[in-house]
Amino acid sequence: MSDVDNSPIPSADEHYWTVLPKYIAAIDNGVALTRRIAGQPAESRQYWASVLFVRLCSAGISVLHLCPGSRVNTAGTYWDFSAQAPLIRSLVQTGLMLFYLGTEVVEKDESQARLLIMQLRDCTERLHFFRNAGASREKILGFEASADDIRTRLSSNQYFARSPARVQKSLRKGNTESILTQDQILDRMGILDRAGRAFLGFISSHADVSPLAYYRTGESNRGRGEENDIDKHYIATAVDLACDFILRANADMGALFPEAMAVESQKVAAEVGSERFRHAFEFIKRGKGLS
Amino acid sequence: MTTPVNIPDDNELKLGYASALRDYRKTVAAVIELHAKSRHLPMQGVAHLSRLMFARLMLLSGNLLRLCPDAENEGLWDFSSIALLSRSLFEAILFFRYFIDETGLEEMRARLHVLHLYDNNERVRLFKKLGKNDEAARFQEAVQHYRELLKGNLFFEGLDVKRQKELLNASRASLFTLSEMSDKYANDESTWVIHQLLSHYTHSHPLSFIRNDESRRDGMANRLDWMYIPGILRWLIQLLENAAKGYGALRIGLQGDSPCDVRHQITIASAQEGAQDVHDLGQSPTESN
Repeated sequence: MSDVDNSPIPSADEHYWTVLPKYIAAIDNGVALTRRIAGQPAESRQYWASVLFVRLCSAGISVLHLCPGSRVNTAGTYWDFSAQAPLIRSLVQTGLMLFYLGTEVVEKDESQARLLIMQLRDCTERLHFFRNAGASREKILGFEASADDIRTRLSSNQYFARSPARVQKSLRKGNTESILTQDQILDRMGILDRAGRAFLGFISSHADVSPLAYYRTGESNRGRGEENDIDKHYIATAVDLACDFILRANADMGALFPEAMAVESQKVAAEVGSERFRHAFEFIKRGKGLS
Repeated sequence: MTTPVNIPDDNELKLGYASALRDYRKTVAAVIELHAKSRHLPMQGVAHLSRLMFARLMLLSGNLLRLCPDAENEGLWDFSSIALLSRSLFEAILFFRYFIDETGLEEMRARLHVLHLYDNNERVRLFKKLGKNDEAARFQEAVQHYRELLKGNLFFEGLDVKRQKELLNASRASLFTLSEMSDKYANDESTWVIHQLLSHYTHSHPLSFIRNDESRRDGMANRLDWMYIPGILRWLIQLLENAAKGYGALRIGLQGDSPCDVRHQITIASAQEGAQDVHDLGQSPTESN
């Protein structure tokens, strides 16, 4: 993508209707897999993977509810990328947590440390929430005791003990749900290149009430939900990105539950990913002035 | 969240959900109708921005409706996604109210400078991530431009130093934090607590999945969702109704009044004085390029 790149952007219709069936197929495979996995005996890693996988599939179906022309939104009244953005960001982050807590193969101590950090975060979140909601002192003390218990268990974890003191101190605060950053997890998954990550940032900006989500949307039939090429391209690109995470999760869950049914690996190579984001960025660049 | 002592039976919960959904649907229909009335009216400046924001409320509230199943529906019950869109809608309502506030000229200018500064800074970040430094540099010039406008703004000068620093760093798109806007525009003790609860679903925080009751994990209808969702819908109904009242009161022609609201006057006056950013708001993106 450069200032002199004037290659034609493919039709929004073609882009959208190519991506949507692929996405639906991936979701259908995922849902079928959840049914095969249900009731299977599971150890800790498998258990959390199955919880997050179901969450991923639910989020994936909710995305379809907002995709005009999908089987659950046949009327297709609203073309609105901004409403899709929070759902797709959540789906992606669920995919990251699924990999991080469930499907990535790591040593037992590391796996245990990851789980404890997630539980500590949960505990501190609840503590914060119930304090603000004016909960009873007994309830607050209960969460504080749980958090202390988790910190004690973390201290005896070998993987955690090997971490730098600065990292340990930070993690013990319970302000983060993972030891790794989003970028570090993406690196380990090998799933999004630089352009993909930038587009994920763009999705994230739309998920929050950033001016990007509404400012300068009055042009090209945008901002009112009516059918328009820009939202169609953005939705298609975001759904395509989400599809990568679903395909990856399907493959990884198949590997984690081989007895349920092995799913052929559909990992997406990072190097083939950047081309599809190029068109979206062309719109961002052209539609946002100063050019 | 603790389970209430007196737990209604399934039928009562379903009826409560169905009733809230019915009322929410009516509110969304009213919002759509109001949007339809305004969409072809000529608007400039802040009024134009308020229309864009109101359209966003319409889209988010309508899309949220798509995620809420009928009470007897066997389909997907996805509370997390409902929470995500509810939070987005709440925040959009706060921003809408922020931009239709009646303020003095300098304060409205400051609000617009802050918006532009944040918007351009977001684009700098985006293009830097892409390694497109030329593009980033062009938006950086705009960032600097709006930073200077803000520094020269009389209302901005009156803010405390810490806030000035935050705003010059483009840390947010508004003069106020979300929490401050919540206090100002949704003055209700429970509002910020509800916002916090919804926020736990935003980034797949553990709270959104770790202790989910088994019945809430498979996307099937369940008692907790029948209890939670009506509360959120009724909360949003109130906020949407207030937003619609504010939009109707803008006197931009929605009720047959002269399209010359005070905020409209501010825009026109600013444009005449050559305040580029205010003037730009009334133009389409193509025109402003």
